[in-house]
Amino acid sequence: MKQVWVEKYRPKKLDDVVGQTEITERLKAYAKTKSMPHLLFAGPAGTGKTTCAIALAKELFLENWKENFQEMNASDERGISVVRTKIKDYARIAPMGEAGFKIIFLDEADALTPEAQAALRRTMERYTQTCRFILSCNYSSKIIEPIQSRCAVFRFRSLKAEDIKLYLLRIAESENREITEDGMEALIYVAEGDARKATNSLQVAASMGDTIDSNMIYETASLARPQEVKRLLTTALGGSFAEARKRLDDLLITDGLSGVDVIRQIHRSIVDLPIPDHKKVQLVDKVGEIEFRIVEGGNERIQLEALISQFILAGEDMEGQSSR
Amino acid sequence: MGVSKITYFFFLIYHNEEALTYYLRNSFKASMNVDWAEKYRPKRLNDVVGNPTATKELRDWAETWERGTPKKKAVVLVGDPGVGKTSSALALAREFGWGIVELNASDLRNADAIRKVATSGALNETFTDSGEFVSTRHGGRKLIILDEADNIFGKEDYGGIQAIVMTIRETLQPIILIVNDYYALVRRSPALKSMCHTIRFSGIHKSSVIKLLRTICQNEDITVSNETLNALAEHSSGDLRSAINDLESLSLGKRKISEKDVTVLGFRDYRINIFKALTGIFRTTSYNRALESAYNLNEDPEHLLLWIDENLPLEYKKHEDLASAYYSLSRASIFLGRVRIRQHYKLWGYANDLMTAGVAVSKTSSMRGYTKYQFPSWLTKMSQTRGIRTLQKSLNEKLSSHYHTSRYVAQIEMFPYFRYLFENEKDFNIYAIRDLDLDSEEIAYILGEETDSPTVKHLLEKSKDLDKKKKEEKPQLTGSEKGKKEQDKGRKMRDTEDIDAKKAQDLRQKNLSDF
Repeated sequence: MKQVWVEKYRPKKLDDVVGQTEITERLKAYAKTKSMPHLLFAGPAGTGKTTCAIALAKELFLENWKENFQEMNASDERGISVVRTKIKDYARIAPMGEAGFKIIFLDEADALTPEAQAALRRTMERYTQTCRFILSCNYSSKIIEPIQSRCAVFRFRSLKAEDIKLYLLRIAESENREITEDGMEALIYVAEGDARKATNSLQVAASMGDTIDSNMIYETASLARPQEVKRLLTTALGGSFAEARKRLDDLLITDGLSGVDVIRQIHRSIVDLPIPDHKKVQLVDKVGEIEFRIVEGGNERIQLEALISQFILAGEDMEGQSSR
Repeated sequence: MGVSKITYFFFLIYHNEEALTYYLRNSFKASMNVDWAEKYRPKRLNDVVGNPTATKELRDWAETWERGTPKKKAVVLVGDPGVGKTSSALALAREFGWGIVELNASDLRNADAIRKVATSGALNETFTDSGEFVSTRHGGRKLIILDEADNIFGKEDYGGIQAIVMTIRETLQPIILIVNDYYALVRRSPALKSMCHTIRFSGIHKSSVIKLLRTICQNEDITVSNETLNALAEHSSGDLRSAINDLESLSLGKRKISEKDVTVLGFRDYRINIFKALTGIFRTTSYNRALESAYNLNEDPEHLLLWIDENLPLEYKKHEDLASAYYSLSRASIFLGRVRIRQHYKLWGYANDLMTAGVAVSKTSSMRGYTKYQFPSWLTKMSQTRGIRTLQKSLNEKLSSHYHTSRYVAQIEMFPYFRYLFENEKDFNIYAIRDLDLDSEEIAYILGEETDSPTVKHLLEKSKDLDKKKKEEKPQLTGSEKGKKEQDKGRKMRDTEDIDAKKAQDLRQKNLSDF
């Protein structure tokens, strides 16, 4: 059946998860004893946090896992009302079947405001008889201390090259594809330790041909959105405000990104820009200031335009230096 | 226009709500002498040009108030600008001898004030539209008119809509809401839809526009040909107020208007004003002069900000000037944001200074030459893409729940690859359509095609065939999932939640029976 490989090859069992052996061993112990404390999964994207949570639920609850496992994404609804209503409503219902409790998997919990986290803490305590939480986040430091102290903390490591390789080879074998040596190197390079990125690249490359080499992989990289942001920044450095504004509108309107989404990507792209490092540092400061202003309620587009004008200024300084 | 919104803000800033009624009365009086659109406002409902059915409905509703407090305590007048909504409301009040409390979108944030008026019954005294002092004890009601009610409910103005609903629920006085965009209003609160009687106003027919313009010309002693009146009416496209404004501006200092004059009409009056304000801001380096340019502007600060934003890069060519001006503009925008969030209107003053004077003093060299100012492209783009953005959102929700990610990751990391495979990988699309339950609009969006294109239809059919084949092997979709499929897209989010809630309830009942 045709589907997205990220989903198709998401490891079904804890044993199949690559690169996190210490973690999966401990989780397997929970599955075996049919009990667990609240858990906190911290680590970068694409390292297996969601996969482990689903696999653990499957091994704990067997055929009833879907009824006893609720997935929510905090970054989609960051307000306190989510905790008050959705989470609480689910938490107070008794578990189904044999299960002694059910699991709420709260992804990107670091996106919850501190107030919402405080409310969550009370919910965690109140319904601990019927419900366990797995909180997942990129940075555990953004989770308030009282919650951290109530959870067993698991730190997911960025995947090593050999872990990603192992995983990709498994997919290639099952799909009857071949990955050349330089193709594999390219995949590992674009993945940056993120199995989801690697798998997406692999699948798109595989749709171009049966033998996957580095050229195909690098071609897939052009699909990623950060390229568009990079183009926006290079246009700005080149000095054309009107052109840069058009690209910005494309991102905000045509692609429907939020201002903060764009800012996040600008931040990531700065390091690769063709400008001196001290300029990058100055610009990062501006980027942070602009994100702050958006959060403070400023109009997204105007804030980003203000940022663009700073990039134009930075680009002009460069020209001045090189002509001197 | 006698009194601008901006001055109006300052008024609100420096005075309290009691002053409001007084202010309104005066603004009425003052404008009677200046502005033809005001001067020729209909005095009675029967004088309202066009929309006879609407005005009759309005009168019928008002009569229910005369018999006590009716079931529908509020009406919504819906229609394009300049078709007589406000005029009808004012004429109605006059005809029934009701006092008027008129509030614009900008004041609505002052929701408490309205509520006080609405619920205070017959205790307070009031003014009529002509400024006469009327005690409600002598039978006069107070008609509360909320103009531009569709603008109140901006995304950030959380309290606004609730305040209105509460006010209508509790009011002892008739309320009229006036909107251009009915959808913008009821989308924010479906409750409003059932609480209010809706009356639609359509554009004024050309012949009626001509007729009124001719009357005005006779009154003002202006010679004008039929062709000219025809051109003016044509130009107004159903907007009677703009036709009157055009006539007035063309006749300034003249006794005769020719058809050729009409062709020089480019933009609406208010745009001519905003052009003047923009020139004032962009071409001076004086704090005071820049501030003055925006004084008499009939634009709210959020709008003015967008106008400045749009045209700033056309004027400030020096990169330092541009960056420095944008610094001020971005600060101004924060203050506007804080006004919305904290409902603290005094901050408006700072925003205003920053966006006018702040921008003006940012330049190091003076500007010359003619710049053709543009309408804020952001507004046009946003309104053009409203449908697409709703579509993106629903698609993102599907992707994110199917691929266990946040909507952000779904959009940034999954969608580009998903789209590529959808377009290029054989049969990927038909499985995706089935698994993610995509509808024709979403498919069309992914492929960049029209909803009714053959490709989209073909894919949908092929995907349905998959289901037929599947039927024999696997049980079909559950009832609730099927129901989900048929639901209206705009409401999808809420509906999904409803289903979740229903599921939760079912589970709860099941649990109870287990015990």
